[in-house]
Amino acid sequence: MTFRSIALAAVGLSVLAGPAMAQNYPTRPVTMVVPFAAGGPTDTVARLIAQSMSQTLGQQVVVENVGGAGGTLGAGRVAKAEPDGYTVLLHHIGQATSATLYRKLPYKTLEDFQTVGLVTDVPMTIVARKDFPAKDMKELVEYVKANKDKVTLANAGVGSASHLCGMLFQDAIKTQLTTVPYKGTGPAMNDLVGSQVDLMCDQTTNTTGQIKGNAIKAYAVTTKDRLASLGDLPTVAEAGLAGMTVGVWHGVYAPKGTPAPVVEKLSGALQTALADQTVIARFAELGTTPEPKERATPAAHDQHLRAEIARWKPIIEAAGTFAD
Amino acid sequence: MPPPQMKVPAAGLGIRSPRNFAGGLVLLAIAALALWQIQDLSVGTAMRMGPGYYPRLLAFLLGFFGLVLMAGSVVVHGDGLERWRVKNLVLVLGAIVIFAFAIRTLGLVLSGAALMLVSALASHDLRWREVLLFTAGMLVFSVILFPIALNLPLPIWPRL
Amino acid sequence: MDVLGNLAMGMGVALTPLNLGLCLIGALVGTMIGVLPGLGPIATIAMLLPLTFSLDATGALIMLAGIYYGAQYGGSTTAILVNMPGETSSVVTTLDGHQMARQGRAGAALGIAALGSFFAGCVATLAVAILGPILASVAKEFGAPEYFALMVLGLVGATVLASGSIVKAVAMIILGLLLGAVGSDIETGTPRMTFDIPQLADGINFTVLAIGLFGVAEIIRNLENPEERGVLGAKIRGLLPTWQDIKTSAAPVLRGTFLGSVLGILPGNGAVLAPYASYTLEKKIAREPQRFGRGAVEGVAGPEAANNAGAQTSFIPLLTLGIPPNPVMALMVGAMTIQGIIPGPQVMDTNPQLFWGMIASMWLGNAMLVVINLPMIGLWVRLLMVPYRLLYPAILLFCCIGVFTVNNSYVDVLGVAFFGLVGYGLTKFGFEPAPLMLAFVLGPLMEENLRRSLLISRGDPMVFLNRPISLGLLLVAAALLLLVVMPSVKKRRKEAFQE
Repeated sequence: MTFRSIALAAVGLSVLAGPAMAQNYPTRPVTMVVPFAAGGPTDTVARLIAQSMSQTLGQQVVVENVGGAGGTLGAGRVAKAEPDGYTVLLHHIGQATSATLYRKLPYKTLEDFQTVGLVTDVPMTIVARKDFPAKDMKELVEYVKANKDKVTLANAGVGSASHLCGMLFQDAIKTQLTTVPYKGTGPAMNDLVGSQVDLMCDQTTNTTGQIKGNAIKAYAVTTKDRLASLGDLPTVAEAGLAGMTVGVWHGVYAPKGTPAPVVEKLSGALQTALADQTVIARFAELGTTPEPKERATPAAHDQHLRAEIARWKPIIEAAGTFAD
Repeated sequence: MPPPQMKVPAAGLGIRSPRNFAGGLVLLAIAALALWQIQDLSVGTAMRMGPGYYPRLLAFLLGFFGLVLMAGSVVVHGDGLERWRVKNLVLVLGAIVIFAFAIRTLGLVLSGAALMLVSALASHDLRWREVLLFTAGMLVFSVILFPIALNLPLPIWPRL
Repeated sequence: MDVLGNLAMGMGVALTPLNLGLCLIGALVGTMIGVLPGLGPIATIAMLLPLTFSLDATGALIMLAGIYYGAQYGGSTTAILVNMPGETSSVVTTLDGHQMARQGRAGAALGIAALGSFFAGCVATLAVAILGPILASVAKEFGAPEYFALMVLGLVGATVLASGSIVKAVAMIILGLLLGAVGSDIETGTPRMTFDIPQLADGINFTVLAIGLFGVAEIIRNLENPEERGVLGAKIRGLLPTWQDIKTSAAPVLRGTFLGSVLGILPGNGAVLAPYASYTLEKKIAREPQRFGRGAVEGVAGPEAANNAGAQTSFIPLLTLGIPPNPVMALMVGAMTIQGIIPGPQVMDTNPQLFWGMIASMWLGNAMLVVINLPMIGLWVRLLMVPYRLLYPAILLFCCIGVFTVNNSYVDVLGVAFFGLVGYGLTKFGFEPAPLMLAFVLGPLMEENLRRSLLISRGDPMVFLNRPISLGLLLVAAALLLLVVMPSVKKRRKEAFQE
């Protein structure tokens, strides 16, 4: 435990290192913490906007991957960072769900962060192994209800987007299935393609290629409107599961107490990034679109975060899985 | 973590392989530590394992093999205990610990220098001039290599 | 199926000056980061990802692939020279490779590693080109029970990694499994044995454990015995392998290539087993197995070939199924998506240039690596002439920087110190760390697949015996267990009777 006290001393030292003047912010590189491993979908989003934000801010925005514990390690690092705008967080929907999923969270999601703006909302798809008997969503729900002891639902681990979407699906059809957790999307998709498991719900970034390659069957997309990349796929509302509209939304956060002018500058740089043609084009390749300007604001982001925490709380509690 | 320098009354107890006896004790201690850490985890059944099933099984197995080693050490002749060189241990590990705590705030140059100089103290033929020159050279090399060429997010200087 | 025509097209793509240059840069960067302990391909590829934004997809992937197999080459260099495995795969290389270096035969070890890897790389690349699509569909049949059986087989083989007592080797395997169980439970997310340290929530980092257990412990031990410090003890004998070395290594390289190619195809990261499997096999069929662990050239040649073959064929699940078998491949998926290519089974048809260009570049990359590495051997060996009193602080510096950059976490660096202490302590009691490392890698996969098998089969344990592949693997494991245990039991009984 002496480690911890020395660590605290070290943190204290860095706090003493002096707050930067808010007016001429930024005068040195800004660290954007991504609480997941490099190369994943969230990291890709961060690196795309960081590049554009660097140009607007006139200082390098450096992406730092602090993976671990479902994103809570990286988020915790930013929650405790100096609120000077030089450390920000890019997190996804997990920021809202970890508030319920982790009962011993080392920070308070609503009190320790200053929202900066929403970034994007990645759609999810409900998919099954290629030889799964159901033809469409209606048949799927009937089949799953009739065979709920046999049907298996894969996910990429506790707290992952596929885990959340799977919970939502079970909640929407009021049926508990056998969930099979994997370490990451790769192995889960592998077993779905190999027909070792039956169902999964995951981001388009992971499923589009397999759907187009006819390696798996798709039933619905969780957005309000159909996707350009998968035009034949009905939305969940069309398929009769309106409550399942969900997306893996991403947002930028600063530590609570960051001066308002700094937050404004960050938010402005984010809005510019989201209007950047290269960013729009890259996002389109990922199967998603940047949030409009009015959503990339601290207020809209804060409202969304609160709504999402409230939405997921009963679902997670009903499922009874917690990450600690 | 193995306890430092165990004094086993080798001859007295009829222990013929003190090293194995002590090794067995260490395994038992690790097993106990693991069991203490997982005491609250549900075990479940073999068919539907809880989080505690697998680690508990391993901890028991580890303890069992610790006992086997200890039992064997009474029967079969073997090696004696080796001495622990605490000075080298403390210097090398201490240098790493200093680096760990310094890197984020003091930067690569200062914490790297501390790491190399403290660990160099463990050498039995220490030549200060040579060590200082070499350390300076290595630091220049690593600053060019890691934060600059490989673009790794490492602070070079103390953050003020 | 016009493989030759496709390969020719691939060569055309790979031989453009830009792609050739990218392949060379990748191989060079990969070798460098492989040589630097602690700095792995994952961190480097992650850092270089933004650079690939401006390249076309094929060029980007060629460069990243170069980094990947370059790092495998470089990793064995560090393992041989300073007993520091930076990658899972090079743990085995430390066993005999570093012993060879201690006997003044570092050049021979490095040369055999390079030549064996090159041969294996060529064969495996051909395997990818000709059999890739077919093999991938077979590998898909590998479900959780099969992986479980494979891991069991691997663990039984792990006992062979130790040169001392079987009981101690088994104890180390169990300790490795226990260390592998640290972290969050896969099904419930409950933390296990994390001592309330949040950084342990995802388990112990491989690099931290390997560098502490092997590298740091080795340094502290070397400082104790001034007379045999480092590799300086022996005079350097020859920079290249002798003809005798090459003759001895030929068969192990062939077997290693085969094993590595087969295991690499499995999308569940089967490639990690390849070097271990090869080492086990070589030691078991050797006429004088006692030479292993004391500088046997077969113990370097076979595993190195297996490792590189596995590294090449592990592209098969990625390229033909769109499924990344390991974290490095997952990064490549990231690079592909950034370039607008959604990985999946259709990539081969929609982007034949990418598929065949990459395969051709793998072969070119392997050739480049030999050309880069053989002349470097002299330089590496000369590095060992740096007095150890200077060498070891520099090694520590590179280790700490490397480990820190993996997660930007000072706790990981503290972990290196802790496992350095553990490693030092273990050797003081005569325990060997190699079986522990293998068990640490395989353990989580084994538990995961065991529990997944039972979940999918609704708790029916017969699932392991009803499926032919899993049954076969378990039978082989049982046979190997008998082979390993019998001689030791006999020996023990003899010893006990002599008392």
